[in-house]
Amino acid sequence: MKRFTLIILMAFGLFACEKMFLGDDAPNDPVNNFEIFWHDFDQHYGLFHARALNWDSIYTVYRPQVNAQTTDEELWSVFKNMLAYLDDGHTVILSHQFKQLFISGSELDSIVETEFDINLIKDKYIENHQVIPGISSDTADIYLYGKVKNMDIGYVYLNGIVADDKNFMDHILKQLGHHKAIILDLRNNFGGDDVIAEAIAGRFADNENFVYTVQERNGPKHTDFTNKQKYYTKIEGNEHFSKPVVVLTDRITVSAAEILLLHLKSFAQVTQIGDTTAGDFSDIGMRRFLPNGWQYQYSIMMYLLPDGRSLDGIGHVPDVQIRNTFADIQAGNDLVIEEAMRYLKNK
Amino acid sequence: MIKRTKAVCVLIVLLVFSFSIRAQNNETIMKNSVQMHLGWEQGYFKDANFSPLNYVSGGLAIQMGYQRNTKNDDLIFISTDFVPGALINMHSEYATSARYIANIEMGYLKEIGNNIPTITTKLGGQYHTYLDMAFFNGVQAVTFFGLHSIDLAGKVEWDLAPKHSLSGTLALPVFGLLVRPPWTGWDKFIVSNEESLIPIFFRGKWTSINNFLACNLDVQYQYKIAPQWDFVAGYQFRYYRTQTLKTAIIPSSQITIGTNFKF
Repeated sequence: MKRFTLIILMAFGLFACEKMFLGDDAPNDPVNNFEIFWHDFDQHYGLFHARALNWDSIYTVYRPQVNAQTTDEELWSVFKNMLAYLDDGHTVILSHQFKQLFISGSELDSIVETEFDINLIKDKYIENHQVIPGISSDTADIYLYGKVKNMDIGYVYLNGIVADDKNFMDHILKQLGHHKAIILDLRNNFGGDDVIAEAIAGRFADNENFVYTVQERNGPKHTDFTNKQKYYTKIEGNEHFSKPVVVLTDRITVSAAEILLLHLKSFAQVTQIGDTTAGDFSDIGMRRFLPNGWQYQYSIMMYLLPDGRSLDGIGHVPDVQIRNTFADIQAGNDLVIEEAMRYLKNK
Repeated sequence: MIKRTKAVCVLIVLLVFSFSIRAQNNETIMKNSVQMHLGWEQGYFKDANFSPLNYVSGGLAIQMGYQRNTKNDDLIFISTDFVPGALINMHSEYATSARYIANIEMGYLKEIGNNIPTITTKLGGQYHTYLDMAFFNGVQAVTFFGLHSIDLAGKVEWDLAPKHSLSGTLALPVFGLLVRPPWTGWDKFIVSNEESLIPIFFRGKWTSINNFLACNLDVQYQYKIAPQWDFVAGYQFRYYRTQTLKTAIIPSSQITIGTNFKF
C-alpha cells in the first residue's frame, strides 16, 4: 500500500509541476508589449506589399518612444499611431481597461455617416418599402427594399453583407424584378461575408467572370503568400436581373461590400455612383492578445484583380463621382440617389 | 457550474457502486471489460500561434473504453476521452477561451513473459487521434493541435494483493499526421469547411518525432469490489509539443475515478 501511495503522490507531483514545461510567461511591460505587437504585425500582416508600407520605419520611429517608464496611456497612443499609418479598416486594437476601440482608417467615418440618412430615403424617395426578411443584425430593421417614387425603378438598401439565408435576394427580385432598373444602395455598408456577396452578385450575373484572386500570408517575409486562389462570379439562384443596376457607394462601403462590387462591376449593366469605397478587401485575422490585456486584429490576405493590381488602400472609384454633405442631408436632399435616378431616367 | 459538475460525478460514482454491490459472484474468467471514468483535467497550454501568453486549463474529463483479453492474454482495446474545458490567462480576464480535448486510441498489446508471477507486461502499438482545440469568443480566435499517430505502447500490470492491482501504460507517438492551423491562424479553406470540420482535422503533414514530441502515460489503481466490477482511480498525463508553425507546448493531466465492468 505504501508503494501505491508513493505512486499517487508522484502523480500529484506531475499534476502540480506541469508549468515548468512552458517556461516563463511573457512579461507585461511596455517594451515587451511593443515588441510583441510590432513583430506580430511584421510576421502576419498581409498588406505591406500591396499598400507599399514600410513597417521597419514604424519601428524606427516608435520603438525609441517606449521604455520601462512608458504609461499605458502613452503606449495606447503609440499603438494607435502605428495602426493609423496602415490606414486599414480591418486593423483594430481594443482595450477593456480603457473601454476603447481604435479602428485604423476610420477617423473620417463619423463625418461620412452624417452624409447618409436612411430615413430621408424612406420619407422622400421610396414608396412601399419593406424590411428585408432573414437578416440577423443589430440594424436589421434598416435593410429594406421598395420602389422609387414616380419611377419604374426598384430600390434595395443593404447596411451589411449579412443574411441568415444567402438566397434572400431571390425574394427581393421576385418583388422588384419587373422594374426597368434597380438601385442597390451600399452606402454606410459595414461589410460581412464574402459568400453572401457572391450569392447576391449571382442574381445579376449573366456569365461566369473571373473577378479576383486571394492569397494568404504564409511566412515571415512580407512577400510570403500562398498561391493565388481564383474567384469567379457565377449565376446563382432562382431569380435573375439583367437590366441596368446602379450601385451607390461611399467611403464607408467596405470589405464584403467591396467584394460584392468586384463581382458586380464585371457586368456591363452595372454603374457605380457615389464616392470611392474604403479600399479594405482582405479578411480579418484572428484576435491577438498582449500581456497587458489589450487585443488586436489585422488583415491577413491579399486580394488582387485578375491583372494583378490591388485595390487595397485605393477602393472602387465610381463611374460617377458625387458625395453628399451634411448640409445636403439636413436640407432634405440626397444628391447621390438623385443622380442615380437622373442617370437611370435617361437609360 | 463546477458544483453541478461535481454533483453529477458523485451521483454517477454512487450509481456504479450500487450496481456493483448487487453484482453476482462469478468466478468465470471474464475477457471483456467496459470502462467508464469521470474526473478533472488540469493542465497548461502555450501555443504561440494562438497567443504569446501561458494559459492554465481545466475541465471535466470523461473517459470511456472497451478492452478484450485474448486466449494468449494479449490485449485489444479502444478508448476515448473528452474534455470540455477552459483556458484561463493570468494577465487578463478577457482572454478566457473555450478549450476541447478529444482522444481516440485503439490498439493491440502482446503479452510478454517475465519471471515475476505478480507482474504481467505487454508491448504493442496503437492508432491514436489527439485533437486539442481552443476558441476565443466564438471563433474570434481559434487554434488546434491534432495528431493522428501510430504509437508504440507498453503496459505493466502489477497484482499488489488479491483485490488490489496497479497498471501503467505508456504510449509514444512515433509517426503521424500533424495538424496545425495555417500561418495566419485561419484561411479560406477553414471557412469553406467549418460546417463539417473533418477536412480541417485531416489537413496536415505526415511527419515523425523530428517535428513533434509526445507521450501519453496512464496509471490506474484497481480495487475489485465484485467479480464483475472494479473500482478504478486513474491518473493520466499527456504531453504534446511541436515547433511546427510556432511553438506549442501542451502538458495535461487527468485524475479520474470510475469503474470497469467485466463480462
